Order: sequence, then structure tokens, then C-alpha cells
Amino acid sequence: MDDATRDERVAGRGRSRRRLTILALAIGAALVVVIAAVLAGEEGIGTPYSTIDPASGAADDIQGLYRLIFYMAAIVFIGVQALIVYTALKFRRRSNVTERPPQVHGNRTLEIAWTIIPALILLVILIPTIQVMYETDAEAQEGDIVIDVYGKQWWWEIHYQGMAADGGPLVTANELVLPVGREVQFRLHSNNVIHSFWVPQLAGKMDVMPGHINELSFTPREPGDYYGECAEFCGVSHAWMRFEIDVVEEDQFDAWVQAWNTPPTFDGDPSTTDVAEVPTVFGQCILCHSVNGTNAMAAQEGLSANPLGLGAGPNLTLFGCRDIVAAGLLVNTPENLYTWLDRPGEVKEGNYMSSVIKDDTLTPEQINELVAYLSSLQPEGGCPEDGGAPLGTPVAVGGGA
Amino acid sequence: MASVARPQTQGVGTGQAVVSPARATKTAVLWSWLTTVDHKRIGLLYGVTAFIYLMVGGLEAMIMRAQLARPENALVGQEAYNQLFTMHGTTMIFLAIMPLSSAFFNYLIPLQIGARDVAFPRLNAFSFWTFAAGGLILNLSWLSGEAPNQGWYGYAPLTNALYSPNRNVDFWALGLQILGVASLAASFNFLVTILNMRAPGMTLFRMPIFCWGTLITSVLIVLAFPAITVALILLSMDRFAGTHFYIPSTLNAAGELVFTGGDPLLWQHLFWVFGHPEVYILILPAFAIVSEIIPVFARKPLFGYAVMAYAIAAIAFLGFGVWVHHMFTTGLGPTPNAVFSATTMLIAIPTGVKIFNWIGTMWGGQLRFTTPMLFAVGLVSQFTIGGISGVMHASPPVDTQHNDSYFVVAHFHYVLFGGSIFALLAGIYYWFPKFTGKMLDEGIGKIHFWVTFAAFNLTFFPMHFLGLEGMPRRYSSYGGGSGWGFWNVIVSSGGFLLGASFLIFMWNVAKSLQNGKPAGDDPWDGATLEWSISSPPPVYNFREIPIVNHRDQLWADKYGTGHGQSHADEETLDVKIAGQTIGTGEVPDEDPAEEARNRLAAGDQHDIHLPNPSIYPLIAASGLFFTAMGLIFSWPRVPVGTIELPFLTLGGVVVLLVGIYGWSLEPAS
Repeated sequence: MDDATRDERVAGRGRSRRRLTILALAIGAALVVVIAAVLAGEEGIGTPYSTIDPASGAADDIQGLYRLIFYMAAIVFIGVQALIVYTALKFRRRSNVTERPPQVHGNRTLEIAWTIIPALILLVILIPTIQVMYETDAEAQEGDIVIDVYGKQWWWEIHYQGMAADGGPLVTANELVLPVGREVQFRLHSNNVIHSFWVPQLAGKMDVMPGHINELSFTPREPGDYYGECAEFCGVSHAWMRFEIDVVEEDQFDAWVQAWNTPPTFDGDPSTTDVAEVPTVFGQCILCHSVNGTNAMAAQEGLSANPLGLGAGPNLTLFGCRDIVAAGLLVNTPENLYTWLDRPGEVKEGNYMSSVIKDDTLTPEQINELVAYLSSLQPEGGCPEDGGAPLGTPVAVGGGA
Repeated sequence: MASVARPQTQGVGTGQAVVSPARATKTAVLWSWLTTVDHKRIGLLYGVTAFIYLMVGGLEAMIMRAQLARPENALVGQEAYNQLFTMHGTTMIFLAIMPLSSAFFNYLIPLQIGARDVAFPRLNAFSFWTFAAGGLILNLSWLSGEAPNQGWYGYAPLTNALYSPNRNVDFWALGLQILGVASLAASFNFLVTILNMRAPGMTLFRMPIFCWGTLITSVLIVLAFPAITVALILLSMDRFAGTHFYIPSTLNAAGELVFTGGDPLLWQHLFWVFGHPEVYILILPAFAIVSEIIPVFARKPLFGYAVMAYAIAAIAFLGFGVWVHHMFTTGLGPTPNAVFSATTMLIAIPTGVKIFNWIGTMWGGQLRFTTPMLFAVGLVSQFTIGGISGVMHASPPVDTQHNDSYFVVAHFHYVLFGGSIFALLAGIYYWFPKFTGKMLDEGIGKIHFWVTFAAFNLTFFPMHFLGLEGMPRRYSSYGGGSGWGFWNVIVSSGGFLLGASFLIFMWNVAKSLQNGKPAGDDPWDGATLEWSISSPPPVYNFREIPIVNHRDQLWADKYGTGHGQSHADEETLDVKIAGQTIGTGEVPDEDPAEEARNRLAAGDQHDIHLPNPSIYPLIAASGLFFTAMGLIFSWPRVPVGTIELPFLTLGGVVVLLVGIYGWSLEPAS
């Protein structure tokens, strides 16, 4: 091949390559813009666990900081990638060059510059970071409503401080109802393994550490359904340790508390309660589950409960008004409840109820009785309006939602 | 070059166990590999074993991706999934990336510093066999269905016998403990080798930058592994002896809850004091490989060599002061979090310097985009993404939204795949000709790179979105209502493509081993000493120990030193008093090369002598294996008087002692 033809071919290849390069860069740039918009949370993604659709002041603070850091990061990202691409294209070896390039060993000015400039960028991030941290920490020390949360394997025990009729805690599980605009302080406890309490739209996560009490607070800004999840691996069913927060207007919240405090009354003498409607088989359940106002009040609660969950299951008061079963794994429908009571070990591996209820432990008739009883656990005037829209979904073994 | 040794022309060295392949029986070949103390063979053993584990870890990842490809999937159960993610992390970190780095250390360090072997060749063999034992223990757990299931970070108190009564955690704790022995032995070996066995004239600042990476990584291992060793001993005591280091309350014999004074935070501190330097143990060798490759394919020396070496050291030093950023959500309070946030951001500075210096190396060069160069530049680009996302969750409030979510999974895969694996693949393409004498196919190599690059981003970039959508790590499944289905399908398909990309690589290796282009001594126009000898190198490496006068010695030999800017900053020193430069002087003439020449002139010459092969390292390592297996299974228990002795464990200790005893009495060469 003579030199002239080769040069032409090389030049031709150069032109088409340049066109390709420009096209690739344009596509790349468009992608970057789209990705940036999503990442920065400018476009609300609207999924239930979204970290970038904040709905409380605490989550707003984090989002503000995240955006600042994101835009800094985006500038650095685009700058560095552009520099790499430019360098790679510009300094490709030409086939006709034999001379070695200048043997540059370094450049002190440049090296000092690219040490100091990143340091300054980091300072811009660090200062507001520290401000937000101390503010968040100060806010976590207080709240209008104080809620103790006990992380269990694999569900959440919720104690509203001082909200029971007797001035003690109102105890429920996996579902919280909160009034809008009131600051809520959560105190997080565990007597078993580590969990992490996370409602992405309302606050950053906080670990639930055995032997420590961590605090977290936020003020929900608008009514709605918010979804929480365990974010620290806590054993075999970690993925199914969800919870829900229904944020409602103040009067709805008061009605909800009221409903909790007026369940079927129980005067302390089992023989006088309305046990006729309680299936006999429920006698097995009361070792672990309490129902306020009935004689089922033996379950262990709080920190002193058995760490392995024996004798310490969720409080089932007003179960007929609950949205979810099995810590958010299932929607509370009779069909799902049947599945859950029939095969708890298959629905949610490793849960402690499955060491009691095995295959054939309960007959279909007994399960149906239990489903009917649990669904009937509602206050006389019907369930309080909490606006809850459950996220639970049928699992492979389950029935329809 | 002057010679410090007179090699024999025939039957090199004394007591060589190298059997000519033509005449060797299969048994003899096997025996020669089992007893080898040759750093090159040990390097290959590390490389092949680690690559197999890389494939195992990759398969585990692909099963997980199949499970997560759609919501509410029941392909694998929750327990199986938990075992998969635990073993995927543990395998990739301890059985794939670390030993792959170790393969390069082993093969290259003696070649790059002009030595005939490492300082302690039998200890080197012991390191490999101990690593093999640790890997075996971890993976034997699959056979009893008790693979570790508590996460690679094994947070207490989930690891306590109360919550993990089966052997899963024991396989993990003892497997890691034994892998730690292997890593420590290897690191001491490389420290001594690099500090003591450099060729005459090779000052620390004339070492190839890869040697700096190895040196500092070894320091990191030596300082970081004791923390995990202690942590694992305390964990094993909690499990075997009923102590309560990590558990604040437990059940007593009567089934009552009692408070013990233990603290799960103790585990987290000990683990991350090890665990964060471990991240740098995984990435610094990658940086060092890339720092070797980019200059060669830019035909320019490394930009800011001294700063690059200092940056490695600075990253390593600061790496010990950032561990709490793994614990920002544990409730330590704003002050510790603020301090560790600042140190974490600080570490971004030397890391950024490295990125810019690599670009500086490319700038003004004549870039040849061979496969090794593509992977190396791929690291510069992709690691940057991981570095930037790392700075994002260095801010504790932001971290409360990112920690334990897929955002973090995306972050560290950009660091460990876009960083470590890209560099290790670059290193394989670059040094394969030296290892085998054959070139890897460049055409297939380029396809391999672009498929890997695309699949890698398809797999890991959308994980950022999943993290922002609040998907936590270590979830065996998720409901359809979560909104995570879309990106999970994309991630899974990327994951399968990424898995397939390794088939392209294996095809390339197989094809090139069969009929690859002969490499010759120096196919890439290399700058370092390994390219001055044949490919593959002879068992004794260098007929004559080279004398080193320059940093890029081979380039100096080939091209002289008069090109472009001179080695001014090497040959002269700024003379400073109280920070004021008062002049520039010649480097004081204490050149070790000069000393060597003088020694030679004085008749200080000796033959090549190489260490004897030895079976004792393998025996000692197998002793560790039996000891650990005995502890895991507590079997067989032999009653002696009133106590039951774990017989296999005692037997293992005896084997270990026999190995060490035989080793110490065996003549070294």
C-alpha cells in the first residue's frame, strides 16, 4: 500500500470516527442530564420508600444537603469524565510517530492545585453537613408525642407513651397512626439483634441497638401513608420487617386513640367475659398475644420480653382494623390471614409462630374460627378512619389481596 | 550493568526440583507443584485459585440477581438468599480480589526489584496453602447446608449462638481466622522482601510504583488484620465458651433475661477498624497496577511519581481513621460523626490526586489503547464514580438515607469492580505475556473490555436509583407495591451480561494459551525489570542481578535518559533551610549501585542459589485446616477422664507442629 492511499484511508477513518465520537458524546450528555434529574430528586419518583420525596422537616434537611452534594458531585463527575475522554481522544498515538513524547515527570503547580481545589469543594460540603447533624441531634431529644419502638425478629412493637386509658403505654404493632404537624419522638430499643428504623420519606434511618436507646424525631408535614422498613440485616426474615405510618388530622388521631381505649371491657374475672365468641383454639395464642379488654393479657412486652420471641408476639387489639399482617408481608384480608395461620413458616421463614403452628397443627375449621374471631376485633362503632393504604402484597404461597 | 553473580550455564542452581515437563510423570509434576517454593509458581497458584473463586462468587451473585429479577420471587428461599449474599461478599473480598492481588505480588515483586525469590520462600508457600485451607473451610459449609448467613460483616449479636445456633457462623469465623494467618504471613514476607532484597541501586524512590502499592498494602494488612483476629477470637469465645463480649442481654439457664455488660458496638468498632483498611487493601494494589500500565501505553513516565507514592501512603494512613463512617446510623452522636465525616472527606483528597496524576500521565503522551490500557483507563473513569458517591455518603445526614441501601451497593461495586476487578483484568492482559510467553488476543480482548464496561454499568448504575427509592441491602425479596421492580429487572439483565463477559475472557485465555502470538521478552515496550528477561522467566529470574540507576530502568537502558525533560527531580535536591530554598544541589553521592560495583570489584561474587522445594508448608497449613474443622464440628469428642477432648482439633495441632518442626530442621537450600 502506498503512503498516499494509506493517508487517505486514515483520514477517512478519522472523519467517520469523529462523527461517531460526537454522536456518542451527545447521547452521553443527554443521558447524564436525565440521570442527573432523577438522582437529584428534581423529578419526584413517587415510590413508597423514596428517599428523595421528603415529607417532614427532618427529611427536608437531608434532602437539601443531598442536593448540594449531588450538584457538586455532578460537576466533578462531568469534569473528570470529560477530561478523561478528551485526553484519550487527543493524545492517541499517531501511527507515523516514532519519536517518544516529552518525558514529563510532574508539575508541582498543577499537583498543588488539584490538591487544594478538591479540599475547598469538600469544605463546602462539610460545613452544612455539620450544621444539619447538630440540629437533627438537638431535635431528636424532644417531641410532643413519645413513642417507644421495640425491634423484634421480625416485627415492630409500638408503645405510645401515656396514651392508654390507665396512663400507661398504648401498645400496638407494625402500624402507627400519627397526627399531622406534631413532633414525634421515637425511642428505639431492642433486646435481641440490631434492627434499623427507616421511614425514608419522613427521616433518615436510625439503628435499633441492643443495650442502647437511640432517638429520632420528625414532624409529619401532610396527611398520607408512609412506609417503613428494617434497614439492618436482622436474620432470616429481614426482608419482611415492614411497618406503616398513617399520618392523619389531629381529630382523627384522637378518635383512633379513643377507639383503642374502648375495646370490649374486661373486669378481671375470666368467667364473666364474653368468652363464648372466643374460639377455644385461641387459648394457644394468648401465651404470646394480648388482646386488650379480654383475658388474653399474658404476653411479654417491651425489653424484658423473651429475646427469641417465645411468649412475646404482637398485641392483637383491634386486629380487625389493621391493614397488614406479618409485618407488612400480607394485606389483612381473610384469605391472607388464613394462609398465614395455615403455613406461617412458609409465608415468612423462621418466624417464631411457625415453631408453634406447623403443618396440621390447626384444622381448617379452627383456622376459619380464628380468622373470624380476629377479624371481629373492632370497636363497636366500626374502625376509626386512618386512611391506611396497605402496601402488603401476596407472596407466592398466599391467596389474593 | 555489572554482574554480581555468575550463573551456571547448565543445571541452574543447587537442588532444583524443576522437572523437565517432557520427562516428568504426572505424580512428579503434581509433587513439584505441592512442594514448590518458587514465587512465580506460587503466584500462578494464587491466580488460578482466586479466579476460580471469582467465578464462584459471580455465580452466587447471578443466583441472587435471578431471585431479585422480579418481585415476590420464590426462586431461592430467604435462608438460601442470606447464605448467598454472605458468601458472595466473603468470597469476593477474601477469596477473589485479595488473592488475585497476591498473585501479582508474588509473581512480580521479585522480578520488579531484581531478586531471585521472596525473602521467605517456604513461608510464601505456607501462605498459599493456608489461604487454600481457609477458602476450603468457608466453602465446605455448603455441603452441610450451613453456609455463613449473617453477612460478610457478621454483626453481633446476630452471630451469637442464641440467634445463630447452627455452624454457619463457625465456618465463617474460623475460615476468616485462617485466611488472616495466610494474609499476615504473606504481608510480612513482602515487607521484608521489598525492604531488603531490592537490586543494588534501587532506592525506595526508584522502585516501580507497583512495589510501593505492595509495600503499603502489606503494611495495611499487618496493622489491620490483628483487629479482626481479636474480634473473631472474642466472637468464637462468645459462641463456644458462653462469654458475652458482644451481647448486652441474654437468657440464663433458667430462661430468664439477664444483663451481661456486653456491647454489639464493640464488634462494630473492631470489625471496621479492620474493615475499612481492608477496602484499601483491595483497591491499592489495583491503583498500583494501573500506575504501571498507563505510563507504558502513554510512553511517558508516571506523572508525579513521588506524589503518587505519598498518596498511596496517605490513603493507607488516613484509612485507619475513617472506620466510623460505617457506623453513622448507630447513634454515636453528632461529635464523633462530625470528626469521622471530616476524615472521610479528607481521604478523598489523595485519592483525587491519583486520578488527576493518571490523567496527567496520559496528557501529552502517545496513547496506545491496547486491552490492558482500556481496562486501566476504565478504572480511572469508573473508580471516579465510586469515589464521588463515597463522598456523598461521607455526609452523615445523607448517609442516614443511603446507608444499607442499594446506593451503597452501587458505590462499593464501582470501587471494587470498576476499581479492583478492572485493574486486575488490566494486569492479567498486561502481564499474561510475561507469565506464559504468549499474548492474549487483542481483538477478543477489546470485545471483552467493551462488553464488560457496558454490562458493568448496566448492572451497577441503576442500583443508585434503587437506593434512592429506598431499597435496603440484603433483602431476599420485595413486594410489587414497592416500585422497585423496574430497575431490578435492568440490574439483573446487566448482571447476566456481566457474567457472560467472563466467558469471553476465559475463551481468550484458552485460545491464547493454545496458539497465542509469542510474546517475546518485552512486547509492550515496558519500563520495569521484568521485561528485561525472557517470557516466561527462568526459574532463577535474573542470570545477573541487575544494577539500577534509574526509576524506569529498562527505558533508561533502551532510550538513555536524555529524552525530554531530564530526571531533574531525581538527581537533584532542593537544599532548604527553614522552608526557604537556598539552592539546588546534586544528590549526595551515596549511590548503592556504586557500592555494589565496589563490592564486585573486590571479588564479592557467588553462585545463583535457590531454595529447596518443601512439603512442610503444605503440612503445616493442613494442620490449621484440621484444627479449624475440628472446632467447627466439635468432633470426634473423646472422653478423657471428666472432660471430652475435640480429637480432630488436637490432631490438627499435632500436624501443624510436625509441619513447623520439619520445616525448621530442613535445610533451606
